[in-house]
Amino acid sequence: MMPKDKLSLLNSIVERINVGVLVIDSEMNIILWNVFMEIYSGRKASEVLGKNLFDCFPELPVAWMKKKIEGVFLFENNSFSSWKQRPYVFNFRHNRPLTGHIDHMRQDCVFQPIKNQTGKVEKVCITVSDMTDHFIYESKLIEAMSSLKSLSRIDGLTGIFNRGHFERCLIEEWKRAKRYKEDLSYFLLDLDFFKKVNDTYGHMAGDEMLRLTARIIMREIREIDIAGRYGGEEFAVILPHTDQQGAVAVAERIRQTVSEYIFKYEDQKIRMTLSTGVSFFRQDMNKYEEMIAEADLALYQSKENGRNCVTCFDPSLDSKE
Amino acid sequence: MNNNYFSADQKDALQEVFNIAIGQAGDSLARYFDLFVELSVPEIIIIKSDQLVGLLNGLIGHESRVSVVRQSFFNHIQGESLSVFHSNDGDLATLLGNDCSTVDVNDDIILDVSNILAGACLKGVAHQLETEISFSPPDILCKDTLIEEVFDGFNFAWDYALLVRIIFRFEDRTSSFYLLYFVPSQSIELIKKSIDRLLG
Repeated sequence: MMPKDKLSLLNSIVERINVGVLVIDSEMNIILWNVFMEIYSGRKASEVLGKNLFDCFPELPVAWMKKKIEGVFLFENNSFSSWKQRPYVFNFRHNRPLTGHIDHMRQDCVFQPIKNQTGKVEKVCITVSDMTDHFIYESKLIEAMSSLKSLSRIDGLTGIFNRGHFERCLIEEWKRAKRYKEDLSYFLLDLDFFKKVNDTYGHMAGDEMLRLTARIIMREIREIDIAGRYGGEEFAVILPHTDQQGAVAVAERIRQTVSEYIFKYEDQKIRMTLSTGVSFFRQDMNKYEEMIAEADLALYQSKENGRNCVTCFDPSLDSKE
Repeated sequence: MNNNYFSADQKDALQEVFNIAIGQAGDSLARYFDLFVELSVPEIIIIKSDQLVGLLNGLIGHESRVSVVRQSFFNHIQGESLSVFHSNDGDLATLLGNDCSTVDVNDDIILDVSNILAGACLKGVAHQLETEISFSPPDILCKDTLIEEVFDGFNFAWDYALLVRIIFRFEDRTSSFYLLYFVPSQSIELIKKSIDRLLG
């Protein structure tokens, strides 16, 4: 037998440790319930001792837990439950009401056999560790990873896709159109006399204007369309499942909205326009770059035609070169 | 066994210890899962760290996708166990039954099965060798991963290890899963001493 003072020392540690400790017998009656369990369950030891665990807490995953406990008796070995698979066993609130954004305390549980003097397993001790902090740190890590991933796709100035990601999207859409013989349109937009804005009103004004143009483009395109900043003052839009008529309608809407917009910068009112070149996917194209090149030619034509207009690629444009 | 770590007598004794442990475990497993569990004769070999991936390939099949559960055992004999499941074995959950839909059932099941299998066999071994054994909680090393890539990014800090391989199959099922115990070289000496005591 253990000396009395050591026993009472161990007893007070088990009572006060910041881990839930409970012990049940083979009938599932509770024979130990420490302070942690009292605090989080809201049930005093005096209320639950000697009573059946599942009668006291009918919300427990009964079948799963019985199987778990049966295994501990049978194999005389520990069994485990992790918050990663089963967020919690006991329906406890956590103690981060301010900074926790979840409903219940995340828990790791260990079910361990307790043998009597003859070596037979008579009881099972269940420890409950609060893993809520781990859960929250891991959630933050996952969020950070996903925002890093998205940052690598986004143009810092305008908040729309950067050229790298935009081109990857174009390659995917081009392959899809080729494989399934679908319509696909593409256009390039270029702000007219943008250099003059920068020179006259400064780069801050130019940057604001690029942001505004990106916002207008995002507002005017449809949900299935993909927009990106192509470089400098040039933007591009991919329009899947869209024929010439549909693409021109979208391009024209953007052109008109931009041209009617009165841009205010430090008490000055600035008008701006943009030129657009539209190209369409054809089955005889071998590379997606052909679509870009044709949109580029059409854009050049828009500039030639006096700017602030939408031009579709026309094979005869090619031959004029 | 393919080198001089063990004498012929030691090797036979160790094999016998595992055979007995597996036999005892099989009974309890069948009772617990309510299914007959077929277990292979444990195969005991010594491997070098650079042979591990090739060995897994040979065992489970080139380009298989697997989920692997890892668990540490310690207290006297120290090492790690790996339970290797084929990725398409998603119906273990239905086979073994589960009552809670909000849980990642399949992960929960493979962790539980791994803990029980690894624990049941090794407890029997430790008991015969008259030593204690403890286990860490099991955790998922990888999910649905190419067998060749399971140990990508790991730098093994061991040269030799004792490896025990056991193949499991639940009744009426064609697919097997694998339990591998690794005991690194430092701990092999302890096993040898225990075996010698047993042979005493």
